[in-house]
Amino acid sequence: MNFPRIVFKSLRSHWLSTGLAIVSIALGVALLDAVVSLREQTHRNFTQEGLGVDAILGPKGSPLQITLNALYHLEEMPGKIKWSYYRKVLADDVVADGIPFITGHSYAGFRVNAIDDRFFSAFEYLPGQHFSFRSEDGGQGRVFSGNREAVAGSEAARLLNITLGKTFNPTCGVNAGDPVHVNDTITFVGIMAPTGTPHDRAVYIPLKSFYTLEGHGNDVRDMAVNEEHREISGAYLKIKRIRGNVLHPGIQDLKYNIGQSSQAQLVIPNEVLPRLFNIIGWVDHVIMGIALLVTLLALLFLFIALISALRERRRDLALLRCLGATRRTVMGLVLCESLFMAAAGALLGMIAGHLIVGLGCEMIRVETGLRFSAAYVSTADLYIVPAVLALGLLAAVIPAVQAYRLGVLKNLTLIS
Amino acid sequence: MRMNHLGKLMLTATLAVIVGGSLTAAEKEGEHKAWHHGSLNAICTCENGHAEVRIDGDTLKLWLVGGGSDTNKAVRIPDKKIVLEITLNGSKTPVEKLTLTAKPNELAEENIGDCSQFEGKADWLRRAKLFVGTATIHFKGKSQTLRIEYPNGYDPD
Repeated sequence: MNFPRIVFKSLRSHWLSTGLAIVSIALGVALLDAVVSLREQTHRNFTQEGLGVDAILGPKGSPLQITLNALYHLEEMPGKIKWSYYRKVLADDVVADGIPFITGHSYAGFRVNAIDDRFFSAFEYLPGQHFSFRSEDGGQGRVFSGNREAVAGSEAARLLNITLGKTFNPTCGVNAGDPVHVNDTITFVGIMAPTGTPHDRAVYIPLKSFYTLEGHGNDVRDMAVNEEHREISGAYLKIKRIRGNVLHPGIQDLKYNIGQSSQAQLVIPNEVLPRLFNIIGWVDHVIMGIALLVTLLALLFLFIALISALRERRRDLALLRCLGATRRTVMGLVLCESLFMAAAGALLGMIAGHLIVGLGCEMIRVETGLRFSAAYVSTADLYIVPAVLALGLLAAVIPAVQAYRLGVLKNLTLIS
Repeated sequence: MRMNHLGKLMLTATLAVIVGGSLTAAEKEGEHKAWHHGSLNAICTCENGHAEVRIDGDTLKLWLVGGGSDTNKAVRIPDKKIVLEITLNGSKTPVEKLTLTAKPNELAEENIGDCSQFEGKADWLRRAKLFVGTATIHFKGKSQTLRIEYPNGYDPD
């Protein structure tokens, strides 16, 4: 009988403790793998991609609130800014382009944003990526052209069963019980192709249709024609680039200059969102701590399983020694058993971890529109197998040494 | 009893770490940040206000900002210009005069006479490595001495 066969036979002889040890390691690894993967993908989605926006011109208030409202269709904008002020900012040397928008309306729980139609042609939701209505990309219809037309993000369309030609009446507000514009019926003329961003969860109407909604009254209607009085919630700004596609350093001067005004501020999402993670970072650490604890407990279980298996098999090992196995062979047997259980647990755990992420992805996509992937290779995927193997070896050191020191004669003595 | 002492010790240690951590964070918040990547020069004291100075080619840009950690808040002054008496490279007597004129921040609805940003041009600025400039300005309602030490900044505290 060769060495690997002896190892497998031995593992099979105490299959229950072997199985439990593998399952417990797998559970710990799965939890750790899923937590690290979701954490890294969340960071990537919220910080690195910036959702195609260099900066947001918004009213005075919380920069985080402005970012969440403008990019993630959450919260509410803390106020409005004058159109004339937006034009002044647009004329600044470092500003390449701007897309004004108005938030604050909704339809069946999804935000309805009034936006400049260049949003669909000039705006990059990810670097180099523009919105598409082409059927081959998964879109339908076209961009709105008339005042009473709208387009829907793919996720909003899917969940609300929106089809081209369907009509709706926007709600004036984003909270339950807010009044509905019953006399303003808007027709869907386009469904955007999926982007994997929160923009999939919004409905868009032309900027000017906001001002002309019947329920808004004459003052607001006047804003459609009178630029002096016109107000917007904010604007997505594209900043000029310098060599190496780096943002123009003048953005900081611009931020300072706008920050001194009484009505507006410049919010740079890539500065604001990491702060959010600093605030909620402790949750992150607690979950990571729990996952690590579970993994360590699993390895402790492995240690106990090995020790108890060794106690049960003292006579077998002594017999092996009598048949010519050296001390090293017996020691190697214990180490290999431990390594096998650790490796099996780690691999099963990684598979289970990715399955957990896969389930979480769907929930996150439905709730936020952000696209996560079960196939994402996280830092944990790279290090978890070698780390668990090393810890598995560590857990086997004491049982292996005990096996090495096993007294042949003492353990072969008949017990009456 | 022993456990109680141990418990108290652990609680104290935990609190010390938390308080220490928050103090460190607060100190970092309190650091005087130059928002335009220039040098900060205290006006009388750091808590009173600052003049941030940056040289771009032959142009000296000056921002009057708040004291303490309020270096991101502009402080407007009624002066239409600031005349700096410049002492170059550590010499004893002022050798140059540099007039900075008000450059109102349009995005903050500033005007000449109610302005926080000033600019002045001079050829020697291109070669300036070290200089001290002094002037008198009407800052926060009273006449105060402005002292600029380029490039390290002026901090009497």
